[in-house]
Amino acid sequence: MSLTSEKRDEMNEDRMGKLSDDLLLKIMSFLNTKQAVQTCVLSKRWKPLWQSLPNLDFNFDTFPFQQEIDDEDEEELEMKMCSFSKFISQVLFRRCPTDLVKVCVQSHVYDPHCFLVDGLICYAVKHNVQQLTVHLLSDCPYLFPESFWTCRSLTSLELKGTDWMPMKLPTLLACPALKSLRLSQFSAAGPNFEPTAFSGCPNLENLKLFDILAVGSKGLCIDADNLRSLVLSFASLGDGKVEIYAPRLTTFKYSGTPPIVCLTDHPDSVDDVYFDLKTPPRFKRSEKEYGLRLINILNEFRHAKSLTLSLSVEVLTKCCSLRDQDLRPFANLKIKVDKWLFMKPKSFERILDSLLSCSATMKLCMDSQMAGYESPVGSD
Amino acid sequence: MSMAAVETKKITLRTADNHEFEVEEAIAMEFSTIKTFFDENPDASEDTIPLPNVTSKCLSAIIEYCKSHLAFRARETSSSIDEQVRTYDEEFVKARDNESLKELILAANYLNIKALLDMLNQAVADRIKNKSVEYVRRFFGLENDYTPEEEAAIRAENEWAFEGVDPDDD
Repeated sequence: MSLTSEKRDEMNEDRMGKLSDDLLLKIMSFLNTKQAVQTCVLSKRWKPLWQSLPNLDFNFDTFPFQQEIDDEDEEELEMKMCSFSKFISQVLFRRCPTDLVKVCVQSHVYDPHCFLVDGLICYAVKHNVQQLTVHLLSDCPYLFPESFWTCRSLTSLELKGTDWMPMKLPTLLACPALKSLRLSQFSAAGPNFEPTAFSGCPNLENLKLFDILAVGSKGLCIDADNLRSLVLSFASLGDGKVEIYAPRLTTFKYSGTPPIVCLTDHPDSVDDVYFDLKTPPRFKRSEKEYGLRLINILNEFRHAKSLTLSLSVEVLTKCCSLRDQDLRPFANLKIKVDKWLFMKPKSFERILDSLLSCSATMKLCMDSQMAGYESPVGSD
Repeated sequence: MSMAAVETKKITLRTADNHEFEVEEAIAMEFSTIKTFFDENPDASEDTIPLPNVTSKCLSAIIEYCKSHLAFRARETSSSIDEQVRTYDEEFVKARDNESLKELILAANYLNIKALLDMLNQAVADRIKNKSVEYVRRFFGLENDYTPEEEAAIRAENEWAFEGVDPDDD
């Protein structure tokens, strides 16, 4: 070994001596949890480090195990599941009983591994977890442990089910510190669903509900004093009404077919409203009812500083009757259209006309450029 | 209180190797350590701030990073901006060797610039993941203070963490 390389090693030692345990843990949080645990063989100093990791990510799909396994092969799946299950339990048993900050779990849930996720969630709640993400692929309705729905430490929660087995919600979600909630693939219908399920979290600021599979006749009620941002996306239309009580709302994004939405205390502060409206394949009610619902929802938000509509051809043709209806003036309207609209320029012009007559300013954005089309309406 | 009408306020920073950098206030405020210092000492804004733990090479890179990210943030959010930010971040780390990455991490940690620190930590994690134990040891300049028996014992005890993973190849 030459002198220079020895000296270099020494300098390395010195510099590495300066990377504190804290910083090393931060780097380790960006590794797959299994690889983070494997750092125990690097050196004696590293041996206990992983046990203080505040962030744990247990993802079955990205769990390093042999080569890519064939999802269809039950034996291989079971082998990986056993290893995954053992890994989770060992990590929980052997780690320092310090608080957790962030836990993510993505897993299949089936016998005999059903209690795996239960155990993990109970452990996380007991250790004051702040951010929790759970994606489950389960064959039967999964019931979260009771301690979960009233967890005092949770600030951010993300739950995702599947379309063949949507999430089951409790009658009341009451997490006092929860600021951000994101649910995908769940059902807002069924005998056990309470319309006020989302009203027990007083500090909720961000609520995102994706792929709501149905809104039952009891409807959905979102009552949140501190809510700033709301995203609703409906996979199919139900009969129910959606009520929103959110005096501090600033952003509202909505996609799907228009349910009956009503706002109380029309919030003055709504800045951005974005509607992405679709027609369902078979709309049971009449076209008139559809038009009414559409107008209703547009009217509710007409005071918004900026209202953007993203419309498909079908929705626009159903809006033909708009001109005869009571559409009140908009403060600031932006319309995003897809290129197929140019196939039916006449209907397009008519709609634009009616909308323009109710809007102080209107902007038109094309999803894709269509050379040579001249807008006769004269809006920018 | 004096009113600096059109001029942007500049803050002077002195590095460990005695270089002085003048930066706009907006950029200095990205360093949470400095922001906190000014919040607690509002009259100190004219003074030069000493940064004994940061070299000039690191500081100039960090200033560039903060300047670029401030400019990105000033523009309206869109997916193309996100793409540009990603590309910028990739380029920022790509050319740097492991040593300078570590130095930047120490500096970003000292100055408390969360976004930069997270980005750098992610970059280091990307460089060491799926690499052999020897490679990671070399990366961090670690000496293997385990005897072969000790190392074998740890692997056996933690078999649940090494199961199903291919053995090391350098």
